[in-house]
Amino acid sequence: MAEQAAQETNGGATKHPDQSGLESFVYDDNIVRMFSWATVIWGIVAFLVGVIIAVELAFPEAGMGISFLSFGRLRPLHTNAAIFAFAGNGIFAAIYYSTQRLCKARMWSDTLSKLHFWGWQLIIVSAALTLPFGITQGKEYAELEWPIDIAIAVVWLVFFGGNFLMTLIHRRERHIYVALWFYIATIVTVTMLHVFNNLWIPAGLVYLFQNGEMPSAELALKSYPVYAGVQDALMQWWYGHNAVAFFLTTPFLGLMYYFLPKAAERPVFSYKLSIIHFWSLIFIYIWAGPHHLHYTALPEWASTVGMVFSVMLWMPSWGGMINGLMTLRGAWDRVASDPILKFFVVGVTFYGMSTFEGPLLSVKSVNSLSHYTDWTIAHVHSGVLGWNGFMTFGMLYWMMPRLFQTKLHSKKLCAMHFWLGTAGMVLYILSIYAAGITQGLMWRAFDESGRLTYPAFIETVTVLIPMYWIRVVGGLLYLSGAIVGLINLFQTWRSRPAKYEEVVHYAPALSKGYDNDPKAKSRLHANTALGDAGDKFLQGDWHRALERKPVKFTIWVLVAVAIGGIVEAIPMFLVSSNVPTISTVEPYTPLELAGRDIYVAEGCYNCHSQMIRPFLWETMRYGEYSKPGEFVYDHPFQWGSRRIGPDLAREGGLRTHLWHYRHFKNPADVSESSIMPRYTWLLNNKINFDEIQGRVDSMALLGVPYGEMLKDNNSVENAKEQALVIALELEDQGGPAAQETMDKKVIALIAYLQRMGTDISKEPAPTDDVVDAEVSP
Amino acid sequence: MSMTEIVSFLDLSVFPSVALIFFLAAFFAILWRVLSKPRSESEMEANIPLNDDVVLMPRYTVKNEQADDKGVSRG
Repeated sequence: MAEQAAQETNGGATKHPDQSGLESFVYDDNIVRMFSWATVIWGIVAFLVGVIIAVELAFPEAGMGISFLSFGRLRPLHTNAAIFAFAGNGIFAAIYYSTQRLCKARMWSDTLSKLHFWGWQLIIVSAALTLPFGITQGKEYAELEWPIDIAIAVVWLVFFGGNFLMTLIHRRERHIYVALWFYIATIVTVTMLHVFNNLWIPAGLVYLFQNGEMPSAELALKSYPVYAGVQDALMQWWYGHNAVAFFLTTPFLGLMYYFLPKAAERPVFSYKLSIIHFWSLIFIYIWAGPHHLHYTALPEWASTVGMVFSVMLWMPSWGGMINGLMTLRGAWDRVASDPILKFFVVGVTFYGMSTFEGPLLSVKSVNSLSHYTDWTIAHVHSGVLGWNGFMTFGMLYWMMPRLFQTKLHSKKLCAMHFWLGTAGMVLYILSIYAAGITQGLMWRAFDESGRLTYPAFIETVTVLIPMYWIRVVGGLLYLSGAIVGLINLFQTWRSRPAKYEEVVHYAPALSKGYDNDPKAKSRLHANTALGDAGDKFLQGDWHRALERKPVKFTIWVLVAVAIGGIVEAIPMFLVSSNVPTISTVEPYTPLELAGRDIYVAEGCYNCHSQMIRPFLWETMRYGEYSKPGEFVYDHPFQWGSRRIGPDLAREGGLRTHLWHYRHFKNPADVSESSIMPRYTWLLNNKINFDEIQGRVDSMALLGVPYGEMLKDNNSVENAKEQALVIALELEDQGGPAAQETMDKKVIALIAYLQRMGTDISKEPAPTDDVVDAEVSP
Repeated sequence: MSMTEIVSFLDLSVFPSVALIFFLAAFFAILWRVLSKPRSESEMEANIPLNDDVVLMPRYTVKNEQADDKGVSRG
């Protein structure tokens, strides 16, 4: 029993009886098979949901007025499924396969591997069960609520990271190959990003501790981030950008450095270039996040840092791309006949295109045109469909027949998948580039008299519909390709042997102490210790040591990635001048807060921004540009990243309650050709007033000055009173009877919308000095 | 003096330049290491993925006595 337990946590290694010093071991390919299947299946789910929401933009009635099919709720499901379910399972399959072979060791613990697999699938299922029901934190790519956040931290760091690091420590190959460096960077940085971007207060637990009861499941799952406004925006896009960097780039580069040489049957073009690629990339990437917030209320210095580092990022990225493509030197003839190599070549090419476009979009003048438009969406999809998707499929086609110990069922189907995917991507990306640039140019167009050429936002929407349909066709082609892939891999699996062979490998264990061979010797004749040490340093001993010591290597990776975050975040949080306060900005009323939570739950930020940039074409269309001090009570910030609909930062007071009511009932009634879905459930579902005190109390814990609202359930009474006032006003404007609407969610949402952006135009309360001056003779 | 006060004294407009200097220092150190790395060492390391499936001993399978208790199933 004890022996079995020892083997369980030591990769099942045993001493071979015949060979002194050799250890035998068997790779755990079963876990790779499980992750591979999960990749294919979740990929199809992600692509299918993508097609559904693409149809909804071209044909809004497709949502059928059903809450959990609305665009705002499904889009986070699509992005989370594509990133964490499809790409996530893909990188786990790649890491489990390649790490064992590069380390010449079985994964350290089969139990941790299985806990990782099932834990991750449970997280994905939890996402699928919460996001469509509006349970969300309202931050892009970090939507999952707090219990799932905790699960992610445990599964990622303990089950996956712990198992990976222990495997590295127990490896039998002295040098840690560069692919493993990228995996280390992935594990370390994603942990850091996830933890710091998901610091929150669970509103349900606050209520439970204060009152000894939980008013609803909705409140139990609700949390508010500790950051607000500008600071929340900086943290979110530090996370959001680096999720792209360290979840969708570094692990795929590790995948490239392992699987591309395997498929091409030749070593990577330049190992030296891969080292420069690695360190430059991880050091630079982490600084680039603020380029997502150009011309917003983010301070200019932070924005400039983001732009400078984004442009610098171009160099290592293209170094990596060239290294990947040049690995095929002498094998280009095989690319024509081998669809697997085709997947890799197009994947790496898309990496090059995306990493050229990313720095381009980070340049402020370009960003002023592209930001909030579909250009960003095209950029993201060229990266995910082209780079992540094709690298994953290339890997699966190379790896799965080997895992099933058989041949690929059909090379023709594989080629068909490749061409369907490629055609789909081209259609998708070109149409959406056209849509994005069209939008951007229309928003900023002035006529000869100096007025906006397209003052009605809807004009800039309807013109895009044909391009949205082309996107649907592109998405369908890509989805069809993936289904062909599933069939091909399923048929491959069916031809597997009755029982898998398990190949027993042998390798000597590494010596216990550190082996620095070849050890640098001082080339100096001087007898100063400092000179000798310096000469050894220049010979690169220090880096060779890092390449052989996983724990130290991991620590230095953490240092490299932490510098950028610290230098950007500390001034932002500590220097008060970054967020000048505005005396007229006050906390939301309890009802407005409840309405804001509905705004978050419905995913309104997926289509509407709340950030007016200081451009004439924006201030003429939307009003006064947004100031940092306006968002100090916004937990979370809701600036958004795209404008499928108009900006809402100054929506308050622009329209009547009745207009909003009718708009939610059927947007086309008040805005012909609107592509916004109907939100009829908001007209019928009731506000849970009992929850409101818990929401207000949580905000107060975050420093929002609610004063009297915290006493004796005052928040609930205040919310009911305000709801009645709005319902009566709605009735006066020709809406339904107040008795019918006063407890409905639509009233809370209207309360929030009517408040948005109005504080800045209020008269400041008279100070004591002013009062004194007025009464003085 | 609090951390807030210390940071508030800083001229934040120099941050991009300071960041650039950080990066260049790290970049040139790595570049030096890479350029001074012996070619043979690089080639050996680059070949690791191509050598990782090399079996030093005859193949043993689940049917052999070495691995008969692994309980391998069709996945």
